[in-house]
Amino acid sequence: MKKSSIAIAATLITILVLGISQAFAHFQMIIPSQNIVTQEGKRSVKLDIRFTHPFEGHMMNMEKPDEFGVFFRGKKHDLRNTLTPAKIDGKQAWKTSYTFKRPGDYIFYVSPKAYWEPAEDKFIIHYTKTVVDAYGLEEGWDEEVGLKTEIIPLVRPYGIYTGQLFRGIVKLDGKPVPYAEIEVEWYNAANKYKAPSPPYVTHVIKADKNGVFSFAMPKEGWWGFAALSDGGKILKYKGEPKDVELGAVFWVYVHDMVQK
Amino acid sequence: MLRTSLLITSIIIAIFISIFCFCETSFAHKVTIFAYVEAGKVYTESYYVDGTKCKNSEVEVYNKDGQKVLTGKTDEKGEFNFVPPCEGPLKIVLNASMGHRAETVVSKQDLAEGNAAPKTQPETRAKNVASGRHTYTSPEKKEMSITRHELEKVLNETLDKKLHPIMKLLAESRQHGVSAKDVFAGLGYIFGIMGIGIYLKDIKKQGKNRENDK
Repeated sequence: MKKSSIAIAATLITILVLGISQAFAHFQMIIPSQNIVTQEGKRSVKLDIRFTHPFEGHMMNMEKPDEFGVFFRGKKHDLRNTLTPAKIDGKQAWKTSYTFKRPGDYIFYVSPKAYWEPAEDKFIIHYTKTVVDAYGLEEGWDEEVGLKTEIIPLVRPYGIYTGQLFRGIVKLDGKPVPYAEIEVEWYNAANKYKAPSPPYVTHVIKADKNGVFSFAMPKEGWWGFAALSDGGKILKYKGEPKDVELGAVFWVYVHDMVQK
Repeated sequence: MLRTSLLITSIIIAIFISIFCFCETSFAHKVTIFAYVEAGKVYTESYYVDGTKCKNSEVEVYNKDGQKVLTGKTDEKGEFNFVPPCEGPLKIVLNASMGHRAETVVSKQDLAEGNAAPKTQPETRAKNVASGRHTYTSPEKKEMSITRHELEKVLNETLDKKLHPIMKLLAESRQHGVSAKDVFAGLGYIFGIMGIGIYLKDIKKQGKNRENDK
């Protein structure tokens, strides 16, 4: 009797510990209401900016970011002042909208404030991007914005079908990161799906020696790629230097094939 | 024997050339004309999907009745800008080379929001529109015979109406990559090269005949 209760307790503790370690795949998100804008359709997008666990949907507070804008035709355009606060599940998030005046690819980017994660005893900064194509000019999606760390797509990041391969290169300070670790998560927007077991929540892949990774996306929806690097003890929490996780996050939308 | 081998060679060359030509057009994919209104002027940009600009391409502007009110050509940057000659909506059609065609519409609202249709010289503009002429007429030339203007107007209207389904069909077929024009162009190449082959062969043959006559 005693033995079995100890066994149960041990199992529970193991599950809890495992559960905790699996649950903490943070993703900064920038999700536009559409990623291909046409002259015939709506010429603007709404943007949803939040810090969350995309599959499980747990929200975290997000302070007003250090930087938020759009990179278009080789230039950064600051949009920080357009951000309006939004509350999602009681947590701070941000939203804005943007109207496209000219054709081409628009790279939306955010450099958030460092987030203190007590459970991991470190800070998290996820530099995040997503691309919106406007008016049939497919130019600019492969450009570098020049963030501290970023993923540069090697596949045009829109007009992607379910099952297609996404490839990208992870850069830190403008240089490829050999064997970078990348976490991949599907945005469970309607919360209709569950993971059969924890490893299905966050997929883990590694880049090759040139910092290039690939991943085939098995389902329609938004897929987030977070390439994580160690930023060193550059920030302090209560006077003590702490580790900083630098993330290069990239969001890609995948569409099912459409029947006539 | 020589004749057949020559024919076969010329056909093969023709096929290669036509394939090469088709590849060149299909690389370019879809073409787009994008229009926006700013400070009373309509700005257009024409480009292929990969960012290549459509240079020196014809742009036509139609009013809401389908009458052509303006034509122009894109510049080195694929741009063509104009002061709207009449009220919206305006249909702007791009005719790029090799049968690529695209169109866009600037709505009445877009024109109004962009502070368009300046109020200067409304009379001249109105007359230009009514005449269906493609370019602005200078005040001196306004005095042209009205019957001719009217005839032109009626002709334009009828032609536009009759041609509309054909243009639509053409536009649709063009969006699928290879247009009827491309097919004919390809056939033209094949026949042309075959012709040259046969011609060259004939010269040779004649030369031989002459030698034989000697």
